[in-house]
Formats: sequence, C-alpha cells, structure tokens
Amino acid sequence: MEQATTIGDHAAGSEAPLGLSERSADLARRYARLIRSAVARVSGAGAARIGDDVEQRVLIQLFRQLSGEQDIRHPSSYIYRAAVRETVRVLRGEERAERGREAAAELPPPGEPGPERALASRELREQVAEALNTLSADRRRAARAHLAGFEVKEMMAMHGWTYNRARNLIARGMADLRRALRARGVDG
Amino acid sequence: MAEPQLYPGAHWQAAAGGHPPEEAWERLACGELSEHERRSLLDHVVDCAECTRIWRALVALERGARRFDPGVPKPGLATPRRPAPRAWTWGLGGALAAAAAAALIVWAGVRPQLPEPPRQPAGETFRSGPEAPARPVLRAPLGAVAAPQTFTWDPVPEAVSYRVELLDADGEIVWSTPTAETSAAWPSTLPHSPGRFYWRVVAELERGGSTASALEDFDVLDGPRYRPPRRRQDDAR
Repeated sequence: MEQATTIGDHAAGSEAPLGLSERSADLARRYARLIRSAVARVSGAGAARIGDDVEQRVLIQLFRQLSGEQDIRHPSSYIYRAAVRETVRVLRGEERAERGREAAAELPPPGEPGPERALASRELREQVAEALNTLSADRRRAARAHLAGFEVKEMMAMHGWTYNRARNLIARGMADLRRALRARGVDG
Repeated sequence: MAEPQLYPGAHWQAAAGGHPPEEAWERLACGELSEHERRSLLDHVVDCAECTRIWRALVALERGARRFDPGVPKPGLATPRRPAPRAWTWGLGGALAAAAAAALIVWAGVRPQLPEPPRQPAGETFRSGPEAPARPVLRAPLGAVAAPQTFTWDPVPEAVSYRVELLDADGEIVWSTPTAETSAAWPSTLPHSPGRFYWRVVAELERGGSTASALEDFDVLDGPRYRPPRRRQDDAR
C-alpha cells in the first residue's frame, strides 16, 4: 500500500517536504534552531522548558509556510519574515502557558501593601510619569528605557544612537528627571 | 469606553490585548515601519515586559540570522534606518536630475578650478572619508561563551598599539589594557561571571590619533559571579 507523505511527517524527522529545495529546507532548520536559542535566551528561569519540541514545532510551521507558497522570489528573505512571526508566536504561547501554570498552581496573590502605601505608590508613579513628560523626547526615551532596565547597547539598537550619545542621553535624562521630581517635592 | 489607539496614525490598531500584532513585529524587523510607527512601537516595548521579551528575542534572531542568511533586510531591527538625503526618483525627477547634471557640467567648464580641500592634519583621528583607516574587527569572544580566555581581533595596518576595553552590562569599563599584539588574555583579576559584557579595541595609529572597533557583546554562560569593586569609604566621603 502506498503511504501518503505529509508535511508534518517530514518535518518531524527534519526532512524537507516534497517540492522544497534543499537550500530552503536547510535555512528553515537553521532558523528553527536559532528561534529556540533566541526564545530560551529571553525566557529567564523558564529557559529550561524551551526544548527540542519547540524547535520541531517551529520547523514544521516554517516547512508548512514555505510549502504553501507557489512562487517565492526571495526564499531567504521570506523565511526570515516567517521566522519573525514564529518567534512572536512561540513567545506569546510561552507567556500564555506560564499564566496557565500560575493559575493551576493557585498561587496566593501578592501581599496587599495597605491602602496608604498603595496610594503613595500610585502618586509617586504619577509624579514620575508627569516629570518624564517634561523631558525632551530623546532624553525621555533614554530615561524611561533606563528605568525599565534596558541596557545601553539595547538603546543603541533601538534608536540608532552611538554609545556616547546613549550614555549622554541617559545621564542627562536622569538628571532632568531628578530636577523635575525635586520641583514636585519628590526627593531621595 | 474604547481603548485609546496605541499607534495613532499607524494603519493597524492595537491588537492582541493591546500588544503590537505579528505583522507589526514583522515590519519592524524588516525596517518597513515609518519612523512614527517605529517609535510608537518601541515606546510600547519599553513599557511592556512581554513585548520587551519579544523585542530582545527578535534582536537575537536578527543577529544570529545575519551570520548565515543574506536575506536578512538592512536596515533591520537592531540597525534603525537613518534619515537619508532625499533621493531623486526616475520620471520627472530623473529628467530634472539629468538637466541639473548637464548644467553642472557647463558650469564647471566656465568656472575656474576650485582649490583642493585642505588635507586632514596629522594627529587627528580619522573617522571617515577615503583616508579613514580600517577599524579593528573583533573576532572573539562573541555571542555566548562559557569562559572566554582570550580576546582576539584583526590587525589594523597602521596601528602601533591597541587598547582593549571590557565593559559590564551597564557600560562601565571594568578592565582595560594596552598591547602591541592582536590578542589579549582575559584578566586574571576578573572572574568569569555569568552575564553580558561588551568590549572594543582602540587602535593607536602611527600617524597619531586612533580608531576604534565597533562595540561588541558576549554572554558568559557560567562561572563565579563578578562583583564590581566596592567604592572605598574614603572615596565616599
């Protein structure tokens, strides 16, 4: 009896589906490995969960997308686009799974800080947001990113700043922010 | 009440629970967003932990993909488009450009020869132009490494010496050393702490001045944790 060949069968064994060039298949395999590594890199404590199954799932999806297209003029550029989409999907899937695990574990809600502390915290947040809005656009971006924990190199990549420009904008943005907060009676 | 539009002026609406949709990420990664859209999206990334993770993963994807895939667009995610002078387009613009070029040729023919621009004096750092020296190209360590032992880079023909600078994740220089070689050993005083480091090499040139490599990063995967030197109490006073 003749056995039907499906894309999933081929992908599960990392074999290229019929009609897909070896070059495209090889690129897809490389991207699948790279996506797994990129996702693990940003997953912190959850990195250990990003296993072979993620790589296989991504590879199957990439094979499916490549096989579904009749005429791909620039295969590598097309695979890159598909890889970007798959990366977003994998991370959003991991995020949903993480929320599900937390719900299943019935973790107790974080301790209530108490109304006075909550109010003070909210007021401080609002004052910081207002103070940030008084900064010039680039200094505001640099200060917000710095407060959010972004590294200098990341800001350079985000905004096309040189190293020195990024460092200067952070320093000046944070100095402006302190001044603006002091003017609002916030010090420390 | 309707949710405020996350990207005013953008052709998509906030989707997926207020996060940018896949299409927006794809266009960001391919350098296809307008400056306004790009900034709006990145402003959201800074405020959103989930999208920060996606952005960081896509940066890692782009950097990794550039090593084997020539199809990765330029400019991409980690290399934003710089404003370029407006270029002529063919059609009417092309005709105007041709007319302007013809006028320039006529003008050059009747004008006296202009003096040559002054040459760059010795001792200056050459950063651009045809005389700009090659910059050091860093070879290792790059990417993820277990315990880097040696820094290596390509030689710069005009260099008489080099200076290696190692920076921590906050961009503070934690170690620097001069050398006449194109390699330097990892400092014995600095443990291989897990985390991200940056490094660059500054080449001191024979004719004076210097030229620096791009700042590259690497991740140390394992080892005893690095502790920055404590500020002495005398310094704090």
